[in-house]
Amino acid sequence: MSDDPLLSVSNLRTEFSTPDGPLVAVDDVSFEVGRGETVCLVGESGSGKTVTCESLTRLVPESGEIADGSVEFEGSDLTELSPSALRRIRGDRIAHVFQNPQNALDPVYSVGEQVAEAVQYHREISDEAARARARSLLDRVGIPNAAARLDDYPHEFSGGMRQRVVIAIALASDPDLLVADEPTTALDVTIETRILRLLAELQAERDMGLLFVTHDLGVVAEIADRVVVMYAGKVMERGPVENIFERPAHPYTQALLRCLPGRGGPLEPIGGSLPDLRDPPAGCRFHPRCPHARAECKSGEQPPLYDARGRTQSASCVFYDDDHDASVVRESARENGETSNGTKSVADGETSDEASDGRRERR
Amino acid sequence: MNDDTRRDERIGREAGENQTRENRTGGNENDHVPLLTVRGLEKHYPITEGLLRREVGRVRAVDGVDFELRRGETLGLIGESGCGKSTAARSLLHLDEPTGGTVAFDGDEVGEFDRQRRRRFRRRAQLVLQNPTSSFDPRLTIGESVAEPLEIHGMTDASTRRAVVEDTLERTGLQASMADRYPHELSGGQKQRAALARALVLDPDLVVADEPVSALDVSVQAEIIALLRRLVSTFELSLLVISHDMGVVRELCDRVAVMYAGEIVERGPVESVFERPQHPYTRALVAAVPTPDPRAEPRPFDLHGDVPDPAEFPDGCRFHPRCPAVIQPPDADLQQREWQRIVAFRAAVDAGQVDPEALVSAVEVDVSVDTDTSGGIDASADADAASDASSPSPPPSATTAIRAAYDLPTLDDDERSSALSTAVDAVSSGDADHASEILEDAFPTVCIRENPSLRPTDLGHAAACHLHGEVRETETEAKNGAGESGVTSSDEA
Repeated sequence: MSDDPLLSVSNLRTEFSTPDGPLVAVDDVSFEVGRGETVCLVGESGSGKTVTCESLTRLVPESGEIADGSVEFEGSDLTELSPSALRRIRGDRIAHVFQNPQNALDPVYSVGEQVAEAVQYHREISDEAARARARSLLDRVGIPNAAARLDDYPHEFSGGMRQRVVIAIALASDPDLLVADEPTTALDVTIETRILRLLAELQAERDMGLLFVTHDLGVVAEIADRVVVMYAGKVMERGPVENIFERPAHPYTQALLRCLPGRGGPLEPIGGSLPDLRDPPAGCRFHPRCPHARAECKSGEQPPLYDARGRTQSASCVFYDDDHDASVVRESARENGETSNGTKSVADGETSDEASDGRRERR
Repeated sequence: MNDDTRRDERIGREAGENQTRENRTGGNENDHVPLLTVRGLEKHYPITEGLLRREVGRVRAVDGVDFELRRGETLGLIGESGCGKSTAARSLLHLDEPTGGTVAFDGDEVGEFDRQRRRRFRRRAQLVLQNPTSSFDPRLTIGESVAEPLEIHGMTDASTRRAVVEDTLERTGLQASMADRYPHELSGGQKQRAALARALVLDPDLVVADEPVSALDVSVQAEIIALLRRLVSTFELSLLVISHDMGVVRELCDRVAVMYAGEIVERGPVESVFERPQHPYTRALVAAVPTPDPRAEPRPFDLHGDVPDPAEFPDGCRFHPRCPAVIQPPDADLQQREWQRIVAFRAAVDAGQVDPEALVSAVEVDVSVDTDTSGGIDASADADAASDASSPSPPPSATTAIRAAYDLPTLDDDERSSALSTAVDAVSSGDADHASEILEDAFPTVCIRENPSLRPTDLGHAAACHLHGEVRETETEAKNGAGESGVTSSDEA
């Protein structure tokens, strides 16, 4: 990546006012997306992934506000821009695709008109050319017989097809950054795979940055260069995709990977539930569900992101500061990597923390 | 029998119950009678027109489905959306009356049940839906919702009901005190547990779960999957899981049936079907599942198009227009990719989907836009040009447009090459029927001629594909070893 990332989010904090007091949905979140790079935001619902995306171009609902932090996009801070300047960037340089396609299309215009309009918003070209470009885009996102369907209205499309139209509209402007929030979650795997391949192609062609929100770790493994793991509004871990899957540093990331169906090993639910964001636990927000939690995890602030493996992978976990023995959590990580073939190394036998013992019994 | 006795005590015995119980005993002791036997299940919806509601067509949502489900067994039904999975589930439960075929429950045909026996069937066969939020009445407590089926089926004593509800909630991993909560106070996972409790409260023998975990987070999915497994083994429950998520089916099911366009195209033990899929459609589905390994090689994936419209299925094998392994004419020696494009074109012509005018207007500008990958801003210059004479090439004829749109190859085989040209000419002049005939003569294939039936493959599990016909068995084996889809049939004798 170049020294100057396309998007740089620093210490972002987004709050909502609720009848029961303020709710901090995104708390001190920082990450970067480079040109041509794919960064995946992962986490369970309620982790703040969607609000993070909405905060980038200030699309958060009325009751929310960006309380702190900055969103640098090619040198300018989007949190400081005037609404009109921001509008010029949104939908043009930065395009969004949201999970629910029902509200994203206008029911009274044909699908072709809506895609063509998005094309013309960006470029001054004739209606015919815009229409042809619309057809080509719809073709590429996998609308069968696209030429014949340009004049159809959104209600004549299935949910999956509407989502593909929404993706075509987002791509119509050749954005520098595409922010996609669970864009393929509602689609069949066959379509999902096609869309993911298409995004990868476009990325290579146009050096587009991609911020992709998903809870599907299979998709993450397929497309991500780097991963940001969120939990209860906080970043738990950041790192290159290979490290996150093969050597997850944070106990939460490790727990998340053990939930994956079809991975070969036994499924291990995390247990417990997400904390109430109006009253988050002190210390590390994952501590009530963490098998390694100690006294120091249960008070104070969320730990900072410590270097977990070199400087590229960092984890918000006290075990990675200088005073702790990181191998306690790390051994567990390695064991996790080996559950699929069922073997255990001698080194694992030496760790005596209760978590890995507990896991052994269950097996 | 303990379960039965307990349930009977709870719910009070209805007339005729003894008869059913005898049947159940038979089922328990004799594993040869599956709990559920579905034969030729059909659900067609008529398309009507005009005041007289004359039938002009049929939507064949489920079109001849066979399977069995044994006691304590878990079967997965998978396929893309629109393939008929959910309709099959609803019609086998007779929630939507099937239009054909039979469903036997414990050996008795459900379609012939009188009201009373239908009612008992309803108690013993339960449906759990995908979205736990919309399946609960927001004004009732969880306890009231879970107790509702008991009340409907005649348990009049409120305190007994309460005891049964609390017991059932605990068995699905919820606290008994959840009975007094309202749906909005529960998380998604808790609601799905409560939905299972409501299905289990009548001690059913069969649970049909339509996408039971797809609305949930992975961590919660894992919990519900573990719960379902436990329930199946504790209660000897038979479970039919409908899902588009192959990871979930793999985790949960003993056997799996793959549906495409209203039919089952492959069926067998989960391991066998997922590890060595025999139908090209299953192969594509399996290949589409992302593997949670960032270092995995990119999966070969070449499935295009969508599930066909159930009102007009393609002739022959319903998968042929999308099939990467579609069989070539006996004497042909075409590149498989070229052959596939011809087949896709043939399917479009047969379905009357080729619109020369639309293609002409679309294709011409395509050239200027698609070759310009740098961002396309300078396309504005030739965009105007596209519709007039200054464009780099003159506006294409309809034939060029059609060839470009379907990416039709130039063939070495002179006879077939000219047949293809004649067919393209016919389509461009609006005579699709004639084109159909020409293509049928020049490019015959068993995949368009005949719809293959489900039959055992060499592996033992069944697939509906001509590649597994008697003639082809040996040949197929060699090819499967060689590659995923590289089937040429030049060597067909």
